[in-house]
Amino acid sequence: MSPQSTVVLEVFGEGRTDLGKASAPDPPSSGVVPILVHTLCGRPQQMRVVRKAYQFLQGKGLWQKVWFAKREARYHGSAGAVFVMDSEGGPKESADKRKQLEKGRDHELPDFPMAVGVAHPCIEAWLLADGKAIQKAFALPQVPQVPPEPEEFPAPCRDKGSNPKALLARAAGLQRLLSAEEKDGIARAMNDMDLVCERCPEGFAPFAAEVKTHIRPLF
Amino acid sequence: MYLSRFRVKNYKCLADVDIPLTPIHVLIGPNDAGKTSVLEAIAALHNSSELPLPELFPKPWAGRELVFHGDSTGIVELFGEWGAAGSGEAQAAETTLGYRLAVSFPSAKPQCLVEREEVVREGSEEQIRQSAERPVTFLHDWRSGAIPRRDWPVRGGEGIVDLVTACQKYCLHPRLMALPATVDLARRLRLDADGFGLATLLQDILGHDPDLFLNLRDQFCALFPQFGKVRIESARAFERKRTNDLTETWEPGLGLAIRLETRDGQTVRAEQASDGAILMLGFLALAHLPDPPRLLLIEEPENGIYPKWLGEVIKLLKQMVYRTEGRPFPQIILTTHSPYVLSFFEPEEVTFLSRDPQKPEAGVRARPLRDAPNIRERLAGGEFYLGELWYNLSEEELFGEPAEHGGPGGLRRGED
Repeated sequence: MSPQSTVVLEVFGEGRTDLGKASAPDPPSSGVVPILVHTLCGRPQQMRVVRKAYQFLQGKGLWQKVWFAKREARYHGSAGAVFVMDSEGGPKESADKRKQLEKGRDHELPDFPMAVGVAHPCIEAWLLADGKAIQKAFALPQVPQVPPEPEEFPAPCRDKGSNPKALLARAAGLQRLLSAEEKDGIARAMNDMDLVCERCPEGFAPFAAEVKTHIRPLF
Repeated sequence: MYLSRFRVKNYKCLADVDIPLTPIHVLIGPNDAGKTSVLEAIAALHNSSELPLPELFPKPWAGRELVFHGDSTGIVELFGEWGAAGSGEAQAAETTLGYRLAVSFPSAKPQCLVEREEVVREGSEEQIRQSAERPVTFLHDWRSGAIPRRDWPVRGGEGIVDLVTACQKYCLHPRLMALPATVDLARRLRLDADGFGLATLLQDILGHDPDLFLNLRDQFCALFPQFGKVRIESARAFERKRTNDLTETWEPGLGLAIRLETRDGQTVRAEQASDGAILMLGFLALAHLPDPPRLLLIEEPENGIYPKWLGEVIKLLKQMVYRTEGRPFPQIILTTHSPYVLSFFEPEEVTFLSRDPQKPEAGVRARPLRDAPNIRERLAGGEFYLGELWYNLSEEELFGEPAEHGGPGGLRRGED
């Protein structure tokens, strides 16, 4: 593949699980968000991801961080941007955050492709939606039982025992929380995006629609 | 006129650094990027007219330790160019004046000598002394009266004598500033480089002009409303004595101490006051110097200051630089690691120092932020601050360079 055909996306998120390893080769195989964006775009070979932490701004809100991210992605010559965060709360927090993300995305540069998303209550809920992917990633003898509505569980900070992170570990048959690499493995094994949309209508479905609308046409 | 350009060759990590300066200017960059070395070199150039060369550079050093490691000549070159403050026709009509000092460091001796001295006017260079092999400059001799006034060696350019004057360089430590200090005539109307001597400086300001001191006090009490008065009292104090290049002793003596009086009549020793209060008092004292130096060099003014008050500090410093009446204004050059400080400045007032990641041994490079592509547009009409751009973007992103492996950006936060 010639370097000219490479399409660079800037992905904004938090931590190793969401973003993945900086040095991961193209196309993205590390980080839940880059892997899922890659899958939602039809796994194009020319996708390259630049991973970035949220901005530190002085006395500004979330929507301005999204605006800043979009502006800078354009100044850097990237083809598009993706901005994802956990809601870490209930439906109200999730809706508030989505509103902020959309405000930032829509503030200017309407022609610059940007997808925003809120993982509710955390990104592990999306992984928990696909039992077959968990089975494949951990070479389990059978498909583990997973909740039909993983987004209904509270955030880890609100319930230590029954949250998507803890449930994901149980589904994988582990007594400990999953490592980032193990979550990458599940994300890579996720093929049925429609199923995840169906089971995660609060966070993943609108995010998938954003990616398909704004990012997929780049490939 | 102010120092509008400074160039240094072969000093420490600065192989060849050329910086356009503004009346107030900020140097930013990562650790070990040469910010302090630039201030040292600027101070050396300015102080060369009043001090012997071996006294210009921070001790200890010997032989060619201060010379850039890749250099074989053993010569450090310092060049300053002074231009008119302001803008427009007046500035354009004013010619710039430059002064170049080349200092040779013979190996294996703690000695340095004048190699060459030049005045630069309208682009042409005229030597005023060459290979003098003396440890003092021609300007030093001229200023001290050792050279008769009629013997200025070149046509024109005498104005340089008024421009290359001693500057003050500070890296303030509040605990030292708070100490009672004995009176030292050599420190009159100034602080030691680390801030020691604030009590005597305040007394000097009070003795020079009581109204100036009252104004200083009122500004301090407005910032710290729990205090109603700042007093200077006789007290047992410290006298700093340098014993050699490496060590110093503190000897007891009678001197002056700072006392802060609360609104309910309690007295607080400066040693018991907060670091932030003492630092603010120090900055206010510098802002109220009756006869400030032409150039003030300040390292990391943010240290110890509540972030929300950094604006007050920068406002004070800018008022000093841009005031149009009363006391003469100094030029101020700062270093900072604080995005909050940087956010109070314009791109033209900032230079980014760094090492080329591909050739870190090649010395430091200086990149004016005004040269960063789209820098004004990126600030979105003031919606975003310069400090935010600096903190959130890599140097490659800021200066619009492709990263090593293609695509945008280079170093990024939050990566493993």
